[in-house]
Amino acid sequence: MKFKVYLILLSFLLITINGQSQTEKSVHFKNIIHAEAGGIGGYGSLNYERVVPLPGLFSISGRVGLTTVRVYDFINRFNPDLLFPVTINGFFGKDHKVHVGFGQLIANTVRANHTGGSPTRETKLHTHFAIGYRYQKADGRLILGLSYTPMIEFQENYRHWGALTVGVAF
Amino acid sequence: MKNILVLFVTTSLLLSCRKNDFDINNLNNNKVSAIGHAGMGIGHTYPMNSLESILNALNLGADGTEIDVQMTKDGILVAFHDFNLEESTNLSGHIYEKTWEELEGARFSYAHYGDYQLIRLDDVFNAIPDQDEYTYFLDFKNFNPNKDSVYFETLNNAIIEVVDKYNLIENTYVEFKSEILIKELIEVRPDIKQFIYTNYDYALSLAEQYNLHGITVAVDKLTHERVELAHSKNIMVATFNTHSHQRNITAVEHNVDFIQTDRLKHLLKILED
Repeated sequence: MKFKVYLILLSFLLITINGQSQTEKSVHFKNIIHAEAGGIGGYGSLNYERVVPLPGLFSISGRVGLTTVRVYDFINRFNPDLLFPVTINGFFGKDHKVHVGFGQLIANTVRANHTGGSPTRETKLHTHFAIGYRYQKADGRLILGLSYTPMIEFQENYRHWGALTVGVAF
Repeated sequence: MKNILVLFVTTSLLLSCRKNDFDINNLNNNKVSAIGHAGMGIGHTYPMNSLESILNALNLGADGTEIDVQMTKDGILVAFHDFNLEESTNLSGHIYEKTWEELEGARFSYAHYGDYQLIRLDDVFNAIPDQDEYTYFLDFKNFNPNKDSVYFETLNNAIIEVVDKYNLIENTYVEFKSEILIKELIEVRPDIKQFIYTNYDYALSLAEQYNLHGITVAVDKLTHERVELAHSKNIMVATFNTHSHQRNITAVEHNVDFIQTDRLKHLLKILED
């Protein structure tokens, strides 16, 4: 199932690179900072996104983000969980864009050691996907978005999830 | 408009500073003990009965914690609440159908990206520093439909083993819902303290009949008079379902002995005041 989804996304990206003849420009600003409510980070995240224009109304982007689930651990010590969403997105559209994407969330989290109870850090990867809508006027800086962002936590548990995005381009 | 705003802010500040004056008079040395409901309670970001949730509650200053307990097919006590594993973990089925080997490593699916796993009761107590400083309510969920004499014996042996191993006899209360389980445990270890957890009238009658330490009743089924009646019979009262600030306050006002709360920080704060 996961392989099929990756295959579809790859096909989509190849088509966007090779198959377009339109000349209309879809990207004016290549850098975006956006805040996501919900989404890949779970409850929310702050992200940087770099957009690469492609022929026609297509573009792709790579984003990295940062968020946390909790800042203090179970013994009330400052010991934050650190979550880094990394996503590749493909966009189509001018002012109104649709996008699909996928990526990994790198989670460095704190849990209790079951033999003794001490806080222990571990790093795990979690797959996510994104399909949604983004509004950005062709030459505008404001970005608004709405996405369906399911995740496969621990590469095992599928969870439906969604995101609201607000950002600025520069 | 400005005056109204000033009045509103002043009133809000005054109300927020209001001190809770409780006149506590109960069988617990006139003190209400703040007990974490399966650790930090329902709705917290740590899953109920996870080691993280239990240790978090104790580290915040709780007097103790309630722990839901189930027994595996091979007689291991596990901290877990639900009937079905799939309700809150990445496994399916029931605890009583599985051995501990099959359950070990099972992960709570509730929290985002948290690798919080099912844990044996033995490991919970092993991880708690100074176990004897806290009070424990072990709420036994006996979902196994085949309760025969072997089951009772295995369950009682498992309870006795953990109570004795960690010297918990003074500060641990076993909570059962059924009369037969109460009776079976009394027969082998009458010194293990028991609470009966069911509706008020039946709980009170069983507590009297078997000389139990107390009854556990939902806060919305309690009144001040009902708590007083139990106390007059030398029966302690624990309550739960205190998942709001108001319910915490109501439970304290009822003069119960123990509150198994879902709002631990609030309860600790009002009891400290």
